[in-house]
Amino acid sequence: MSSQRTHARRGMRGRPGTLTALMVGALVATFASACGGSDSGSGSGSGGDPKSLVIAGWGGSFTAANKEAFYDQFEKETGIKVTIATPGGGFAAKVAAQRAGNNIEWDLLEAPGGDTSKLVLDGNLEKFPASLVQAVTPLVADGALRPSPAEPYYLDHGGTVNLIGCNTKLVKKCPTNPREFFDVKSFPGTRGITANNPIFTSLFGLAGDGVQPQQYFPADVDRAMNSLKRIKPNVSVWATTPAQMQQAIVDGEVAIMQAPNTVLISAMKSVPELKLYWEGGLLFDEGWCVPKGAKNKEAAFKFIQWYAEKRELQAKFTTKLGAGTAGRDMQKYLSPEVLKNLPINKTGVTLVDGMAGAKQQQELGKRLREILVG
Amino acid sequence: MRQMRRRTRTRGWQSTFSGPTGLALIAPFLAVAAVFIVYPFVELLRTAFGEPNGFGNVGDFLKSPAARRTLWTTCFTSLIVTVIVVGLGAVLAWSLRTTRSRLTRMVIAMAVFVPLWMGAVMKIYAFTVLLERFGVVNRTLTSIGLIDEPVQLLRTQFAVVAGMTYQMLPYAVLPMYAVYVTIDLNLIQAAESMGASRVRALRDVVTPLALPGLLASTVIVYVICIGYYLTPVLLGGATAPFTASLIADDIFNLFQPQQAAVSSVLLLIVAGIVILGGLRLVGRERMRRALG
Repeated sequence: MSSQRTHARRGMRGRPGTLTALMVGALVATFASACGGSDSGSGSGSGGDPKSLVIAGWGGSFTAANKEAFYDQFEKETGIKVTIATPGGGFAAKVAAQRAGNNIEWDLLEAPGGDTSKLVLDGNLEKFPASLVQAVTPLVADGALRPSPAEPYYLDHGGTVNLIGCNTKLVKKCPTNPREFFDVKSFPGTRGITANNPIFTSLFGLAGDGVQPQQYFPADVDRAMNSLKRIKPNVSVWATTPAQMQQAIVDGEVAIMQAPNTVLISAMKSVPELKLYWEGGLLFDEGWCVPKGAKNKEAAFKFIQWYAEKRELQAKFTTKLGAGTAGRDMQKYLSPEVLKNLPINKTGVTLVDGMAGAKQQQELGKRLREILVG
Repeated sequence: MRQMRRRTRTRGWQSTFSGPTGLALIAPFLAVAAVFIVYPFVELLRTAFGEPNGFGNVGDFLKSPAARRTLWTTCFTSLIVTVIVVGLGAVLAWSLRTTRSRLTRMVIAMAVFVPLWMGAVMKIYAFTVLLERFGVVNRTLTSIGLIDEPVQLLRTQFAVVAGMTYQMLPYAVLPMYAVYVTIDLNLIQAAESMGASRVRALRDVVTPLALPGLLASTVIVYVICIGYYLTPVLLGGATAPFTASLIADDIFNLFQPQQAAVSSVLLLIVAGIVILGGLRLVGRERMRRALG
């Protein structure tokens, strides 16, 4: 190396040594940071610290609203530090992977549709203790403890609906239901479909092909995939994260988007021309649950009870996002305007059988990937 | 020359250790390597070629058109990026080596370093802002009348290639510069004094000397490229993922770790072939010198 340097000094341009050193340093620093900073999505467990709670959610406006309405307040009142992780979807498989690796990183999930059922089915949730059930039963709506009060594994908080949003600034004629969404000739316009959960996407494909809600399960996989395959050339965005869905709508990349109501309502702030069509909407329950072997499960159960007690905070959350709530007698806390727009009170919306979906989730996931990528 | 020097230094401090001492000193590294490299690697191979069909798992995996297409997308896109990056990197590094202007040196150096120091998410987000439907590029093209209405740039292979090229450029410029530094620039003057044009001098004198470095950066860039994950996901979208996305999907969404292991091993094989091919082409000794 020393001979190289003298050699170079004799060349046209002197002093390359400093620059070389700087470059090598930069390269080393990059490699170091690339190795260290690759996993941004997961929160770190803290080995059972009673004053700590790691909550995994699916991010975007939903988690932001949860933080504002509940997490910050909970932290202030109990002194339990809340850490938020946003894996963005696939909760059931991620918890299964964590259990296989014997390292449960999360204590509480705000798990969206389908995942809750899959988690129950796989035996990957902690059962609610009897004391918790007793405490929350008078506070929450009938049937909010799921799958049943005898087997309480998660607290449903109303769920979200995947429905159609249409930007009237970009298209003249909006599809009002899944069939019209899939009719690209009569309803031209760039489309976006949510693809972060194969059950949502497949059922939407079935609905677009004219299947009636009572025939959704067991899902006709071929029919669903063929329907999605036909519409694929007209779909410019298959969104896998809420942030992506929102970006596609706000930037006008898609004119017609199938997405959760929480995302669409949040996007309406930037795109007031966005109109929502609830017919054929797919409602999934959604709930607070605790992964089996969670390091801070006591804190997690404490949070669930605290949440059930705070109906005025639930009302604040629901008013902001239009998402559901677990509370009993919520008409006392919510304005008629908000009540009217709750997913549960909309006509044409179907509550999806999460258990049936969970049983076919893996098959649908594999086939959907073939359609998207193949 | 080095050996001569070694022979004269028989007393006092020695730069080499006896066998057992050397082994003892290297033992911590070997232990770390065994735990963090060898063991996971063996586990990976066991998962990939274990249940249910042993080596047949690869065949099963490749039956999926999505898996085949993803592997192809990964290898082909990486190839395009590598060609562009190495070509551009060679020119930039040469300018950096030969320019007399302090300003030019600073500008090129900053252009190379700044992206290196920025977070990947930030770089990719910058590209999203540039390429989205009503983004900077589309608005500029529309306003100067080149296109009538915005074209789709985001979620295309173009976006992935552009994003990856930007991020990979330093990895080509830095090794190339290190090689150019070792080339005596008087050789060009000598060639020109013998009647060669500048182009001819570059082609016949500089290029052969820089070739090992060129191939070394090609190998480095390509091997890093095939492991890309974030850029194809965020700029390319759900329909044209890289193998890394498929691996994540298999682990986190479909929970089939065995498929993920097969994908990983296939990527490793591609990387291995490229590295061995590079070594064969330039010869081990020259490659070692090129990498410093």
